[in-house]
Amino acid sequence: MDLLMGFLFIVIIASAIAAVELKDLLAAALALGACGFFIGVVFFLMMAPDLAIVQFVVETLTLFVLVIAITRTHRRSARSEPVRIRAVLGVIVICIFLLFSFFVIPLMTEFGSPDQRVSQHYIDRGIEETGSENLVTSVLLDYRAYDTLGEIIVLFVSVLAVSLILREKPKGGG
Amino acid sequence: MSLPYLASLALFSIGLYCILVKRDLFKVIYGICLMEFSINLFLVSLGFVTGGEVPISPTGTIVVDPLPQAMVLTAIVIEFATTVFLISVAIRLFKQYEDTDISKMRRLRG
Amino acid sequence: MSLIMRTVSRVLIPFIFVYAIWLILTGHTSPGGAFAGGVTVSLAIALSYVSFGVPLTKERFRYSTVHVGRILGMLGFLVIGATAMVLGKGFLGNFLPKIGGHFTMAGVIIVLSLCIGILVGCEFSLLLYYLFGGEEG
Repeated sequence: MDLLMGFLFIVIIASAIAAVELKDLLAAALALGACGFFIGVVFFLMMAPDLAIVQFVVETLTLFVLVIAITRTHRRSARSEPVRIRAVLGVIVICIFLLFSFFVIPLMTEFGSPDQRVSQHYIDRGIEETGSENLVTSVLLDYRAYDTLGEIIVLFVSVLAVSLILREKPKGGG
Repeated sequence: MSLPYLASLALFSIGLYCILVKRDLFKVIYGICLMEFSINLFLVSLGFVTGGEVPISPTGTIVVDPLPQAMVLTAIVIEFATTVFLISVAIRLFKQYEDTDISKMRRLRG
Repeated sequence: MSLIMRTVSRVLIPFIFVYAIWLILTGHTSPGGAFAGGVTVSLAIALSYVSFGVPLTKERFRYSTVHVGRILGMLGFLVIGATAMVLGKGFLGNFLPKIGGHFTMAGVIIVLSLCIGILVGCEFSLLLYYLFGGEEG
């Protein structure tokens, strides 16, 4: 289990580096899709089958949309090299971030033994109170339905924004 | 052993590097996607219990935390919507400037 | 696209729809749920765009149908929430009968997940519609 997860993390990070560094945009999109699919496998190993299904399906659709968009912009590869000042700046920011996180990680709870004060109620009484055997669905649509309401409002508004942006003939100055 | 924390940290750093350094709009979108992956992975690994069951009609007492899973489930769908929004912005900018290089978009400078 | 692709997807698309409906309606007893089902619906429509071409798909899944479905999903969610509030349970409370244990009846959860499935499927189909360059039609 640990060995398998370590191997999966190595593959995920390798495909992430490939997605960043590849010149061909389509190949980089495929590497990004591989990263997402392996993260779905990790979700499955972490006992979250709902998340694994959603991650697989959404990743497929993301890959589809990315390929359509890249072929519509008629430019397959990123030809420009990064400016050196920007690269140095990026490395400095990442070093600060990593330093901060290495101080924070020992303060967090150990992996595999979380603090379940709220969720213990859901686990103990969730099936009787909501009638849903799948506790994730009971949290999603009963205990925290307000979050789902906010989420579908975000979906609604984002589709509205996409429809405004992708109009064929923009009116006015544009 | 906190291997998933370290992995999500590394993934977040790669995404941040991609956003800060790369000049192509699609590369920036890939960096944002990588950061989203790392955040999802981090939240799910916060709820994992060693030897726990799947939270679907559990029989024992040790069950994986369902709360982060539900939150990440909504987050994945929202992230897809925002990614499509960014892609549509990139397509629109390509129509206007005939390029997706950020440094070519002069009118963005204030 | 080629003849093989068209033939295969003509067989495959109804089964993808059936799988999506199964995911939406059994989200309370098995892994899956409304979001996965909704995205699966839009995957079927994406396959239709690739294999049958843009004009035929736009004729089959019309703009007005998708738009009405999206608004119906949103309105259904809000109306069910308000009905629970009228019946004294609080907004989005569970007012239908429910039974725990092995034979489960999740009450309002099934109706809500049906609404969300319709909404998510229509939203993402509409995204594909705009992405393939569509004005009203």
